[in-house]
Amino acid sequence: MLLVLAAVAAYPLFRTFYFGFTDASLDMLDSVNWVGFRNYLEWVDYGDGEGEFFGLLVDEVWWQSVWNTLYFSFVSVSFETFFGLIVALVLNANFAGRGIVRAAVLIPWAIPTTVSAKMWAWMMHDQFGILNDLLMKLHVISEPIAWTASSDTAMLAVLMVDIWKTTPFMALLILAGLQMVPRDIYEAAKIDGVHPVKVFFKVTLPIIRPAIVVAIIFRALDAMRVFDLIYVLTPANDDTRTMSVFAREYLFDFDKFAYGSAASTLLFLIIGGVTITIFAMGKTNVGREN
Amino acid sequence: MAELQLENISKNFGSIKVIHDVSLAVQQGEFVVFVGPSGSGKSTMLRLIAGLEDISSGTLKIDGQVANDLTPVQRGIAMVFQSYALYPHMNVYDNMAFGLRRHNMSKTEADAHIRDTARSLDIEQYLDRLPRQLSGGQRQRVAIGRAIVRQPKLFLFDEPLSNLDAALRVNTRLEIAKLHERMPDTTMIYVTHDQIEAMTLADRIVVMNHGNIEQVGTPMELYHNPVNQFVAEFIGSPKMNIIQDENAVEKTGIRPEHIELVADGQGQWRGKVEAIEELGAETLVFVRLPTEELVLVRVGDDQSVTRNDMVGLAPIEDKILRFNRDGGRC
Ligand SMILES: Nc1ncnc2c1ncn2[C@@H]1O[C@H](COP(=O)(O)OP(=O)(O)OP(=O)(O)O)[C@@H](O)[C@H]1O
Ligand SMILES: [Mg+2]
Repeated sequence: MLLVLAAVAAYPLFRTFYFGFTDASLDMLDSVNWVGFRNYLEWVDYGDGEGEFFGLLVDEVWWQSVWNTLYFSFVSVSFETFFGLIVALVLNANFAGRGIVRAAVLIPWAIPTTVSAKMWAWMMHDQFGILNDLLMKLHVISEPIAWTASSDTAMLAVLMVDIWKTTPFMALLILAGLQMVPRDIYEAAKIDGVHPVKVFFKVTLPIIRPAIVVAIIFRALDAMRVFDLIYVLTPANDDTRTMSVFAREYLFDFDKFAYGSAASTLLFLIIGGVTITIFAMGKTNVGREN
Repeated sequence: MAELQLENISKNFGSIKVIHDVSLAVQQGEFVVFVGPSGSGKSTMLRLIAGLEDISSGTLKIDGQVANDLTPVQRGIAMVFQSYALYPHMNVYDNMAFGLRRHNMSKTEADAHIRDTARSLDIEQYLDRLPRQLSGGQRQRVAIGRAIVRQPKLFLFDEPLSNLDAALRVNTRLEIAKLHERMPDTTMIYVTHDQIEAMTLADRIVVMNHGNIEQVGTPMELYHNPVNQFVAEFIGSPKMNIIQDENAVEKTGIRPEHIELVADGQGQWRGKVEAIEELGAETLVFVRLPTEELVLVRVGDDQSVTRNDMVGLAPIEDKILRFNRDGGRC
């Protein structure tokens, strides 16, 4: 068991860590030289008393990617949680055709990301896209916007698609939590004449909070690894490049495999760090409740 | 201080009618118990009175005022649910305090009131605990306490004891009887399918079947003078024997405690002793008649019978009830 785990998980991971400390490139993966921390940070002395730091840790594009990733994750997960909660509350209410609506809501999530990314790329096309057409007809905008290319809107476009795509998933996780809430306590609250808004904040929300926290953790970890959506929708764009995209570009596109490996390693460490922090926070919260 | 009148109340769920034209008047301070088999509409009746379900047709009056469209709060009710319906994330104190209408109480008064109530129910030491940290009986008392602090005019119970074990049930039953004594002005309506609870607690029992009221009366009225076979069989434990007449048109009803075992050849019927259950204070004897009907006889511990004996059965003449083919009295 452990052996299998080692073979499928640990081995590639440590290969990646290792390459991060070498001068590997794609076509010479078997004859690599150990270079220490050079990919991460290196002082290059120009010989005249002056010099410069090089490496990932001083790479502005990298830090921009880190920032993009965190920004993307925070904003998308926040909105997805908010909308997901609303959708879940609606789906939890009793109405005719609820089963069909529940299934329909999942469609955006069920479509493969690359497909929906392409789909949206067409819809957001600056000349032929339906989005511009619609907004122009409604006089919201006066001239077409290059949604995915313009640096003002590229991140917005990515966020929009991600929220569209992932809200259903969030809604479903929260809905599962909502269905755990016993119905009779709503009746008890009704008998006591408690206002529905108060019931939501004092009864429903505290009870489903653990489900929401778990959903947020899942989504946040997922969002920080975001790749395909951005790679397809806004390729090679500084405003949307995330850590995964950065790593992929160096690993395969720019023929700097070692540098990409180093980036992958850092990506792993950052996500690991965030995970541990979230879980630690979750623990203290749960501890307080008991 | 609540008097209750139900006038021709009906309830439909979609196209299914589950309460049929029910009328009933309940006096202030009365303890009324609804009994009936599962699905007979007891809970639905209670929920209609509570305001948890809309009344499809008919009029509900509380203290002479039409209450059909009043909220539960306006009706002045409190309810104890079968499942207790405690807020799982709040401790006992908060469960009792949440939603407590304080307009006639200051915060300190409310606090004192909650603590008094908790003390009277012996749950004071659990005020800081969550419901899941309590036993079933303790949860039950919390649920009752939560209802008491609301000082209701009308106290509703939906099978409050059905999740408790037998011993606790007897205790809690007594406590509810005492509660009623302590709150003589509060009208109480109690739903159960346990006829012993009904007999012991009720001022009056309402027997329900298929969304209709079969009979309303004091426990003894129902026991001695049921209007039909359904009530006769439902009230009393063990159940009344129903024996088909030879003409197969009418039936004789006789309770197990109203039959004497006599020597074979005497009495109205004869049969073979098929089984004997000795319960200590009493013995239940199952007698198989030649018509294959099984008759249950309840005898004291002084009578000795053995299995496969042939015995005679002598009913006490003035305890016999006669039913026609449809189960009505005749
Ligand atoms: N929300 C509902 N929708 C449709 N039918 C319902 C609903 N609630 C109750 N019923 C039906 O109404 C009838 C009476 O139900 P009710 O719960 O009042 O029975 P009960 O006498 O309380 O039974 P029990 O002893 O099992 O609790 C049943 O046939 C039930 O199926
Ligand atoms: Mg019921």
